[in-house]
Amino acid sequence: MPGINASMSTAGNALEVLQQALSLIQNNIDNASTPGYASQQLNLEAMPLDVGGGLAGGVMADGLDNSRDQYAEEAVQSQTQALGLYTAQAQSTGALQSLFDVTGTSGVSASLSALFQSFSAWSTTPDDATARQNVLAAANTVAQSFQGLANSLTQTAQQIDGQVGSTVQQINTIAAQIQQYNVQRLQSAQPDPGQDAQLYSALDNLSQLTNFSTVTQSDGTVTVLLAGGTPLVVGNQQNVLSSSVSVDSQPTPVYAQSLPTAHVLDAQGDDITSEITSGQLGGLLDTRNRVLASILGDSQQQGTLNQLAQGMADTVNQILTSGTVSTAAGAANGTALFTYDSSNPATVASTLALNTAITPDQLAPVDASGNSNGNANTLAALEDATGKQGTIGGLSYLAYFGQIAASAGQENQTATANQQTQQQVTAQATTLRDQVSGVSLDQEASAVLQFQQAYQATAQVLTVLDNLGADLMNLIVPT
Amino acid sequence: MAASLVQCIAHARRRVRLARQQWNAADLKRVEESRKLLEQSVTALKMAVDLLRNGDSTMTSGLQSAIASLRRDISMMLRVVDACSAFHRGMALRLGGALPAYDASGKTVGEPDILPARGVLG
Repeated sequence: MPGINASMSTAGNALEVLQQALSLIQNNIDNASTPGYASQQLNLEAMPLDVGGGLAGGVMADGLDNSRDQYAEEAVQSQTQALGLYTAQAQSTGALQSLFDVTGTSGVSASLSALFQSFSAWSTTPDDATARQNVLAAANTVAQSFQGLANSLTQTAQQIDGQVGSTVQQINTIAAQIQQYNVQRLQSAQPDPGQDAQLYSALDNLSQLTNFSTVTQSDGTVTVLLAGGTPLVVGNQQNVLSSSVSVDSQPTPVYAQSLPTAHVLDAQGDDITSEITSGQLGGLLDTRNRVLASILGDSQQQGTLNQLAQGMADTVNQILTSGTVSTAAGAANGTALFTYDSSNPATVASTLALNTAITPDQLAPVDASGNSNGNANTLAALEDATGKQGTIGGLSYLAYFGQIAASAGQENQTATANQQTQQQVTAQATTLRDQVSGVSLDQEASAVLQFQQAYQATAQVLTVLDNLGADLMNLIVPT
Repeated sequence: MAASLVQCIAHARRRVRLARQQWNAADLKRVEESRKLLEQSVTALKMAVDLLRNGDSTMTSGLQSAIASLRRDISMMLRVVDACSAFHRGMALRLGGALPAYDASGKTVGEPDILPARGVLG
């Protein structure tokens, strides 16, 4: 009788385990398309067999494992963070680049050319009222072009500030979901596959937005840390982030009235901007605080556009005020053509204006030596200046502006190329993650070796190609 | 000669781009096909180098930009392969170093060898 009872019990256990296994398979099928879901498998444990002692053997269920591989998950998250960075950089620098007219037919470049042409025309007829009036009109257009570009760049900065704010809000929303997962996890003895899927889906979404790392605690909760170690979620606590726009107070501002930069703050109000180096937020902050700041200035730099506006205005004004309005004895000194807010060097471009006090007859074509068109000639020559006067860093004003526009274009080009490459890298990481998930480690160990060898062989061919490309480039004589 | 050079470089670039499209890190066959395409690209570039070495090297600036584009494509492909290689290096370390796999809660599925057995811990 004990034998029959034991057999019946074993059969009952087996049926129960089979039922659990079937339910699990059904659950895996149902969730095949659920974001973040990793297929589950039932661990089976052999029961002791001792017929004499009434132990009938058989099988029992011993918990669930899923096919998730933490390393593979983190590898995908890391690549997704880089993709978020490059995508945001490409989009934001694209908006920036569009503000510069690379053809030189409009904007600052065209207006500067027109001003130099007006100086040239004036130099041939220094006393001609129309020529003088044309100089004033061209100077006014230059000032408006600088103002227009500075304002457009400032608007772009403000748009990026808005995007930084909404990205921070998205991060907070996802962090709240992870915090909720932790709360539920603390209340249950076993992880729930559905909640687990939600967690990893949330982490995937978070990796598009910012760089972070995760640590799974012994109680099953997930701690999310930003790259610098600032906790985003710890157990049932969430560190709510916020964004702000302000002029950096450290180090001591050189340009206190400059365009403020974007910041991310933790719940205590501490600035953690430097910790955000990847993801969409990292890309936005990079464009805002590095690329735009280099053009428009910040607390530590004047900005290339302001440098150009000030350099050009100061040089033109200095030439004009050093001369006289005519060759007549006792003729009045010239008047400055441009004005700007000299108290804020980091806002020169946006405050550059035609001197409202100047009239055409106050323009001074006569240089200090008494040459009737000496000043006008000097001003016209600024277009192609190569000496100390009329250049910034050895470049004429027109060339310097071209360099500013080119650098914006280069930033966009680099970001777009990085984005294209990273799309493929991320897709490959996702493929590899899917490949290693659900495969036994023994199987995987032999596959890893095979793939490593195949990659190595490919990398070697690519290195040969790269060297050949370099050889070719060296062999070519540029024309 | 310039036409042949241009053709060689264009052919090499097409092969590199095709190799990039073909590349699938999780499919050994596709990885091999991709490598073969790259080898064809090497052959084309070697031919281009020979043409340049044996002939007049005062070429057009168009050639320079074509080579620059080719080198950009090579560099992009290198980054993709590097990333895949890094992934597998990490996997190899994890597997070879007996590092643990994780269950749904992030806990280790198998105990690492260096840890004492459960019985010892009591």
